[in-house]
Amino acid sequence: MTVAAPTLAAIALLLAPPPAPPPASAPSEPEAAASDAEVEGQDAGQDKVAETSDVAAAGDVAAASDATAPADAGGAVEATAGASNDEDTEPRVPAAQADQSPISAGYSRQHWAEERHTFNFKRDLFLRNTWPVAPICNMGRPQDLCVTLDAELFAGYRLRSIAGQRFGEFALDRSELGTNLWYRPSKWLDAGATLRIEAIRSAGPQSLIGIDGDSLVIRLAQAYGHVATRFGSGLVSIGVRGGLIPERWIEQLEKGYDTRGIDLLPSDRNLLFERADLGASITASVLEGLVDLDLQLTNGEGRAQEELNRGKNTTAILTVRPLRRRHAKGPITLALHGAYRDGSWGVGAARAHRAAGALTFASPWAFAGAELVQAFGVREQGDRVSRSIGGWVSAYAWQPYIGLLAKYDHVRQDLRVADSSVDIVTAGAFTDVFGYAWRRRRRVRLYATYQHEGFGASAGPIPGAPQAADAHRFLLQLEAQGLFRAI
Amino acid sequence: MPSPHALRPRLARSLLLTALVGLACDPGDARSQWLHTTIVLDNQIFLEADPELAAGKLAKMDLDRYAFFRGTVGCFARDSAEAGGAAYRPTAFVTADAADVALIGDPHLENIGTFRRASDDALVVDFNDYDATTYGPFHLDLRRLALSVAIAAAAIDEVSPGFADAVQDAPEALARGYVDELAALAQAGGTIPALRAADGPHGAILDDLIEKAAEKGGAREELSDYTAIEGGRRELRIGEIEPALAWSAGPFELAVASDEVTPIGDDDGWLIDQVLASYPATLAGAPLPAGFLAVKGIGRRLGAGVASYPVRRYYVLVEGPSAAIDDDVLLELKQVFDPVIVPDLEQAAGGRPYADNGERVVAMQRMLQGALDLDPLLGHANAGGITMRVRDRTKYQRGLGVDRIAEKSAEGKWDADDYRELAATAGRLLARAHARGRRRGGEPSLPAIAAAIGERGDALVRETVDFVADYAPVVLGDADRFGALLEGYGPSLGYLRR
Repeated sequence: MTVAAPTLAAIALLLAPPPAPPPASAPSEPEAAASDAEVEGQDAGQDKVAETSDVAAAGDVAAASDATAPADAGGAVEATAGASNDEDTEPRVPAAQADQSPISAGYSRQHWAEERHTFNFKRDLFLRNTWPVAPICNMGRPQDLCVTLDAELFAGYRLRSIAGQRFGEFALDRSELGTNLWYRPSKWLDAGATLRIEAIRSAGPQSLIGIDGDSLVIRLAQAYGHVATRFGSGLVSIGVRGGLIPERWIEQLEKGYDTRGIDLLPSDRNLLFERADLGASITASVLEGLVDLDLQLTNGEGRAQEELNRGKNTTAILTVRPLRRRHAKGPITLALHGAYRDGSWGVGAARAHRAAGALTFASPWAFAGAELVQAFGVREQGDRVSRSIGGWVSAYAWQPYIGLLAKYDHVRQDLRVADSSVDIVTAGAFTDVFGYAWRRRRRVRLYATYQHEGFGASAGPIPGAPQAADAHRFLLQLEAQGLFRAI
Repeated sequence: MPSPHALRPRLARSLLLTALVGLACDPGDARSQWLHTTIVLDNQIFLEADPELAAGKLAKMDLDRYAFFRGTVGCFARDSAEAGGAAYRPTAFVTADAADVALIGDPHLENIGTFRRASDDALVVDFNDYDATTYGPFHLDLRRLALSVAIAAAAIDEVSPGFADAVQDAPEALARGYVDELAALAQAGGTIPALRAADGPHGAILDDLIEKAAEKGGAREELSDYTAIEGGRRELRIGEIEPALAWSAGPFELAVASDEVTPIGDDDGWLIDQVLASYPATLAGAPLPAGFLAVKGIGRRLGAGVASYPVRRYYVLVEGPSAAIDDDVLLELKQVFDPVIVPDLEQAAGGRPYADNGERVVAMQRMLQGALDLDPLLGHANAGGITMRVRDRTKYQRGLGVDRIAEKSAEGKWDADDYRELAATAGRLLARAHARGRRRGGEPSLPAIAAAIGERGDALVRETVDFVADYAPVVLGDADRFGALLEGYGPSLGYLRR
């Protein structure tokens, strides 16, 4: 548990109660307005939407999708309080555009202290991942610098029965530490870098022995630089990432998936998309997220393997958000996703193409989605065609104390073989310690779920003997995460 | 000399055949891509750590079809367990209970050999390579062993034409041997006996193996082969014991070590010291006498095995029971890695019963052999992150050789009946090993397997025979595809070491 210890320490730090506000000073007018607006907003209650000027002063705003986990590099900060109507379909003006003041002479420690306090402790700032429209930091005028630290921990107790054999264990499914650096050299440009490390078991599920038994080892999960700029008065945003970059398909879909702590997205679970890979991506976002177009060029082998062939994976992802509503408790977003990947895998350059479509919905009360991925070539089997279909829903029954979730994954492992399906049903309940608005900066969530994994007669590792792989799992899982602006 | 007219049709036929084979083995087809990728993945650790020896292994796999089969157990496991795999064929005989029994992991004809039992000096026959041992469904072992009989027959056929046709029913004999023996053991209960030489005859092939083991073991041939006496002191011989084999494919050429002992480096010396210091604690029998492990010579052995060709393997000459030079002992220290990976078979389900691979190999060998004294010097140790298995290199431990069967068959000394008898005995040996084993949770395997088969032994035999009939041609085709890949990419298969 050498990795879990610092992770827990970091989470404890992030979950610490808010300190006293910084001493009063004489901030420049926009920053003063920001502070005032946030305080007023809180006083006025939650069912209001911030006015443009307040929002601009508070930080960057985009009216697009909800944020993914704090792990995600990009994002936005918005105020959820202070104005009038419940819903607002008009795209909001990015801070860089709204802030028309001349470049300041520089930031003082006091300015950063106020921004930090706002980021870390103001309830009416709602964090979302809208990169490249805006960073996930309440950055102000040019020359602003932001450094965030975050941690995630998914751990719990798992009682499973595989082929009738019961086995209980405490498990650490995910433990990650990350940092993001953002710098705004001009009002049209944001640049930065992301570094994330994660702990994984060294042996893996199909291996008996790893490093020193089956020790937890640390590896790079993401490591990349990123630049985002805006054109046409902010109507078009372009972002570029390079390095060990996150898979944009998973990143986009997780904006509409709120129960990552208990299970992966279907395509992620079935390894049809790698969570990260070496390469570069370019993203064009029109009308602040109404339409996102992602193009990725990656090795294709994923983060656990180096490049093994001359071919590169080229992926195009289109995301359209026909429904974008603003609500005091958070945005409401319906998104349609489509993707195609031309890829290869392994030394033999086996075909690894993907065609995918998905629908996701995110709101302060419920998340839902469905995903279909057709894989033309699965790892070394270039001629195998596999299909994954999944759907999920999670909703608060009594916010934030009781939530319910359900998820269904159906994988047809080989379309040429009848009865080669694997069906996974997950259902359960969860409870949150912190409210919805805090969830990006601090979340402590406890899940209690049941999962059944059933195999068709010609599916799983022992064809003809599906009962030998049939699995029932009871999971009591803790999801703890926090995001903290350090500078 | 044939006339040009007579040559024309033969030439045309040759060209047509070449074209067909070329098409079938086109490195760009999906199966060739699969083979290329999986062989590199399964050998990536060697290609990175010691590319020269890794290339030697791949070249050795190309020397004959049985060598290819021996070097590709990972391909067999993937083909068997991955949807869409060429060996992904349903079984009607695996229940939940019979899906996690102790397996040999890679049973095949050349992993059968002799041991001299310490308690009564009896020669016994059993499986002798447990590097791949793990837990899983019993039918994987049965299919792998039956497949080996068919692939060996094809390899022998190249030396002794007509052999493969004559022994087409050998896989059936093997499966029948397995089923009958298992049923008998389930009914008899009690201790599972070893297959002793004294219980023979065991057929011409096994009897020959036993006879040679007794002769060479009794003569301490391991000492005459690998050591020399200089000035009244026995020393390990460093150098080529048997000449290297020349391999070539297209423009690529390589010398493949056959039997060679080379000097060790400083790091090797440290590792061996550590292993010898801690390994005695893992011996099953009485503690070794003081001074037994005093080292008289160390060398790195090259050329042994196929799958394990590139792994660290050391010969260590030690003092033995006394200071006399005629009772010196030759130990083999061999690095062990993970067992064969069966994709999606969650090996960790139910926990990992062994702390490292050395413990896994040794503990499961003792379990599946049902004896602690077949090799009293068998043990393991872990040093510097490297796990080693230690064994006695005595020539009483002698393995079957497909090349010897081919040679004797070509000479007309052994025939199809002898081969069928060997196959049946191999099936019986596997049944005994399975019957001695335990499931991951500790329960005995025999009741689980016997219940899974029930009264349907004939059907299991048919299922196994059908599997071999379907999959053996794929493996033989893979051997040809592999040859084409080596010609195109060389003995590292195009893998670029970083």
